[in-house]
Amino acid sequence: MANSAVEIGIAHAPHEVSASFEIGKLGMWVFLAGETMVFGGLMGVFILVAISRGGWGPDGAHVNWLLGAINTLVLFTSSLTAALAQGAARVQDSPRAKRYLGATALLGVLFLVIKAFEYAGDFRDGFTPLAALFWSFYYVMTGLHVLHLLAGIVVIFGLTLMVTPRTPAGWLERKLKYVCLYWYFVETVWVFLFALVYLAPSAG
Amino acid sequence: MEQTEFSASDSLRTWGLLVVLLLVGGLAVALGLPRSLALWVIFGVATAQAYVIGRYYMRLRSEDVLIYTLALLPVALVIILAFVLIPDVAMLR
Amino acid sequence: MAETKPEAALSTDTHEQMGFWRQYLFSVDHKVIGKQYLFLGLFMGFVGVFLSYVFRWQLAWPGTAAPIWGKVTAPQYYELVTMHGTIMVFFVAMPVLLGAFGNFLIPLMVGARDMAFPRLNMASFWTIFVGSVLLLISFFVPGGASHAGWTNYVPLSDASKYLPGNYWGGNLWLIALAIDFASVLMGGINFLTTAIAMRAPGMTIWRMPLLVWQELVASVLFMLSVGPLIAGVVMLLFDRMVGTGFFLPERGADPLLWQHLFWFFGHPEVYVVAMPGLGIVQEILPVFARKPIFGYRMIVWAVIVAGILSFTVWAHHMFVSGMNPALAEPFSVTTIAISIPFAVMLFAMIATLWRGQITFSTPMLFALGALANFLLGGVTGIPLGTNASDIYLHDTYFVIAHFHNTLVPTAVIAGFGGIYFWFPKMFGRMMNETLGKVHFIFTWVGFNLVFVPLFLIGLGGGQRRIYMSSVYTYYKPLQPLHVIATIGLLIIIVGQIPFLVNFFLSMFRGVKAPANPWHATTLEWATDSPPPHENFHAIPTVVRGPYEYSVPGMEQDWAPQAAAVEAGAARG
Repeated sequence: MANSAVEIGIAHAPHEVSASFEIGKLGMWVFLAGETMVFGGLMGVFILVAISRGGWGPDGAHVNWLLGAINTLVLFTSSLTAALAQGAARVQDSPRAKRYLGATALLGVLFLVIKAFEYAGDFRDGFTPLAALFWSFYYVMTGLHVLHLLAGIVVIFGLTLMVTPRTPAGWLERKLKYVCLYWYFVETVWVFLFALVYLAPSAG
Repeated sequence: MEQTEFSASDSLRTWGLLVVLLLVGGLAVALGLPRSLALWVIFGVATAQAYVIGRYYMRLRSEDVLIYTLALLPVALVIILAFVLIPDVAMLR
Repeated sequence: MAETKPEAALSTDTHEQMGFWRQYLFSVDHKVIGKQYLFLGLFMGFVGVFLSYVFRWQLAWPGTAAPIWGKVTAPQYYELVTMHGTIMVFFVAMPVLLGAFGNFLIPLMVGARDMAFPRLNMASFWTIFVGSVLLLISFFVPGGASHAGWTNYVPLSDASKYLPGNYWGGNLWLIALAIDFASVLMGGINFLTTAIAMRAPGMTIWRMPLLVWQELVASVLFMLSVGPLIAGVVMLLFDRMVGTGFFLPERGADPLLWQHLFWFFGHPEVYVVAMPGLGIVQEILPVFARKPIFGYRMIVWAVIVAGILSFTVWAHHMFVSGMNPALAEPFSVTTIAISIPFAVMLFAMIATLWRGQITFSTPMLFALGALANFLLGGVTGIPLGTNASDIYLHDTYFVIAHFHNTLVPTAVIAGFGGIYFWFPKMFGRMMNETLGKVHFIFTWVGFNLVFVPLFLIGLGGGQRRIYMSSVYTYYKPLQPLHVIATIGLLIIIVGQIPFLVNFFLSMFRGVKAPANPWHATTLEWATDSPPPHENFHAIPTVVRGPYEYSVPGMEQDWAPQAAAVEAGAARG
């Protein structure tokens, strides 16, 4: 299994130095593979149970898909700023990268705020985790996603604080290669959650 | 293999694509399309969005086979698991 | 951050100045972390053995008081068997085989200075430490530790009305397991990244020692199989603590879903345990037979194929569960098929011994004992994996004897072999051979005294998880077998005394070990015993495969993997 990432690693880093950016990205992908199994497992079970019931019916009809769509837009914009941050870091423009990273974190916070409003509204209308099996799944899946998003926000926010004029060149670019990867992954999970838990139950 | 640059225009185009797809999915629900058609559109949109994110943000295409495998193998496994569970969990009793 | 150049975490001149906490407790050095895992795993192992002592006393002499514990009540019996299984699989086998041996050996065997993410590595140990503590605490909460079986089937484990009084025990069980999973996932990230990206020059993947291959495939198996179970654990915790009905039949859910999620993970999990254990045997056999491992590449492919197949067999644990019968035949076929790669591996290991120049050292004795019993375990898996015969054998002692003859040889017997083999490298001293051989005889003979009778009990229809078998007339003829088994367990327990004495005495007073006491070829033997903080004075250059023993034409009967010029730098 000849692997060019490894060859680069050994070519750039003969003995003492590891191929730092490659191992960060590789480690992150290993982590994400495991995470895919968690969310994939939840989603798979959700789909199977839905099929067994012929759809969620009236139980799923009250999910606030418009708010969900707005949140999706927020998340898409946050990944845009993340990509722009990566572009800025690539040309060693740290101040601009910091600004974009800050925007990413703030948009993440906005997502959480909108979500909080949404949860509050659902609770007020009586749609608690115990209301129906659909809502149990809804809270577990979106809740797990929220936790992952929160972790991402903390890390990205922490990165903005850690970047100073004295930070060595290329440091931020290397970090962002796998930190932003995590962010895009959380976004991808949301894309499927939105389809499964918001749009599909509201369709037709 | 170094990844290609995150140019502002590339990223904005990706964002635009994602938003357009979002609108398509939203419209499928808002317009009250018949259920089976709407579901195809919704999941088609989600898959397309995942592909766009994977291709343009995660740069999956320029990664090694190993990383490709790490990304796609879990998806295949989940599909297999769900498939095997159909006779047990998904069949109406 | 974790991925900066490893040597920044390894500056040799400041290491000696690090306080006790940084050097021994919160170290990022994979060798220290590996030893921490070993001590934790051994401690939990003794807890697990104690639990088995109590319930085996009850099985042999029902209704009598076991010394130290007292009389065993029915709820206690189920608590004991549940926690014995849980502790042994999740808090002994995995920490020792993956956490201890994997962590200690992988960087050394591939020629790296440390793992890719040393701080993540330290976090992984403390995570499983917290998980272990939580699990032990669950013994002392009201209602005691979980009684629901190590498989924690719903609906019994789902709601208080089914298992009253076990609320916190059951919750802590789930939480401790989730924490354990997180720890192993963290470890897996390190193992895979290190082995893929940080090998020494010349160390192609086809020159990696088999133990590394086994640890890697095990890590991949774990990582890809545990996700759906984590999802299930979250759902079950919600059922228990929030009151949802993910698994409750009366709320319209399918309780079999838990079994599917559990075993989709559970089956690859047993290979996560078996593979590193077999890897240890595969490292020991060539050294003490002075022969290369037979069929190195064949073994690697067998491990990979077994890993892939391991995702397709899980429902053989569910043949009698009431699942859709259409699933029975396909899963039987895949289960029989998976015996093939394992048979290939076992035959390769036997062929390694053929016409070798065998030394029956303590590590070799344990390796041979592991091989013999794993064969027995593997063969007895066939009637269990065939749906027709499993209908009779499921939930009998035959199952228990089968999985103990696969898990114990790999986790315990091979584990002990690995301890004796790598103790000189870990602690810089030799263990005592005589005490080691005594330990082996007591352990291995005792082990077979326990489980051969259990096979017979199972064939005779003896059901498992029965607290007081004396109430059943059909069980009466089988009762003497339970007594023999318990005596076997007592022999095992007594036999651990020479091990404990040997282990701790040798650590402080043993004969100082040379760099390569066994004349072995793999890279960990090319550096000092114990290795310096940075593992190698200079990173070796690898010039040959890992099992070059008795190659015709060579003057000595072994050729180290590293180039000769580096071997001189590794002052013995």
